[in-house]
Amino acid sequence: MTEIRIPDDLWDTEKVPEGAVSSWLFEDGEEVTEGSSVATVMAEKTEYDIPAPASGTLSIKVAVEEAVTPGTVIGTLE
Amino acid sequence: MSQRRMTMAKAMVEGIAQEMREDPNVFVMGEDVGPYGGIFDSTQGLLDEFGPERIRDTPISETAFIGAGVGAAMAGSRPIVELMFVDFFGVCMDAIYNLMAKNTYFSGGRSKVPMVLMTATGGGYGDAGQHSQCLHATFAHLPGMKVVHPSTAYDAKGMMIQAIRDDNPVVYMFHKGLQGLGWMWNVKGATTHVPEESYTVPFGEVAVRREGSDVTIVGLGLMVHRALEAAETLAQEGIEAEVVDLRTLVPLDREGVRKSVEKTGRLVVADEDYSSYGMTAEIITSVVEAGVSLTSPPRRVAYPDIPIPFTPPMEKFALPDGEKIAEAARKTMAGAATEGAGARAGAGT
Repeated sequence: MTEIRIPDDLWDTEKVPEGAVSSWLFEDGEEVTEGSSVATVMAEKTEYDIPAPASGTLSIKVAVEEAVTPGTVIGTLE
Repeated sequence: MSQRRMTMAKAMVEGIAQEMREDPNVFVMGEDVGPYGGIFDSTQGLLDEFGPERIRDTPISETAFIGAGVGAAMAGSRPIVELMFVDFFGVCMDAIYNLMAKNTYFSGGRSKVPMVLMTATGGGYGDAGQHSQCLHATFAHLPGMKVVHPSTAYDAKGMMIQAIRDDNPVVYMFHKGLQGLGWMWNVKGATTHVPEESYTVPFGEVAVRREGSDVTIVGLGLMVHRALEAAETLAQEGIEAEVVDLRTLVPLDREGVRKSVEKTGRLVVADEDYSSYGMTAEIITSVVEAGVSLTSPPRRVAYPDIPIPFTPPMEKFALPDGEKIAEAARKTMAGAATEGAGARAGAGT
């Protein structure tokens, strides 16, 4: 199992304490390929692509509009 | 097979970038297309790759920069000019419909105007009457320009490349709710698989998004997705709706619509643009003129002939949605004519 984790340095949490998942490009249980964008995360009007760190079956842990910070695990790949 | 899934905004940008790499004559200009990346993300990241000579921010004068786009196109460039909201066409319509749309004709074909006018349409997010209109029928009514409006990311890229390569002016309209923007509501079905390589989607061909035998629902852009929602509801009631995506208004695939209605015998047209004198009337007329035998009176679900309200409950009341489309289909199945038709000023079902 591989975690889909928001990179620790994606944004400066001193300036922007938290963001939110803005979209999932794949549904729970779908197959994704390493490197393809699986989700987008938005913090202070800036949107970040979250690529799949491995290939596998997606399991979503954080729903759209829920709050996240750098380091949050938003899903896993089996 | 795993997919390469993208939002419509990213697919449009990829189409523009691939054409810009192939053809040095392609450039982009408009308000906030540079560092901001387009307020609806239609030019996100292009400035970094192509620089300020080819991704040009303009002053807030649509008359000037759309006029400049027409001149550049006639002089051999292939400009993509963004009109930030279609609602702003009022100040620059002379450049659009008297210059862009007519100069090929006026020059006896000696000057081409290979220009793309890209513009955002639609409401549903409380932006009121000067930032929420669709207006595609206004452009489609005036001769001399193609009018296209994708409903999926796949089409958004292919139609953008097709538009850039077209020697005629193309008005490329996109609905804000389909772009996949982080800050507003989204329609999931618009985010689709997008091949990495360059490809085109031809103009003038409808796409049947769902097959059905009982009633044809015709839509464009966001309304295709609302029609698909209606079709899901109707299926639970035993009504099988066929959903036809027009994709382009000019050229218009009248035959594609006719074929579907010949099969189902019933027609509902869904449109977020204003009701009277609009797209819904054109589609229904095309079918009736072709002599297609209808089992019941056709119906339209469109925006009422009123300025778009700001307040969310009022806007929601006026906006066509899946439930209003489903209700129109039920009435069509029951053979009912539109109440007050012939004397009506508004729309609805």
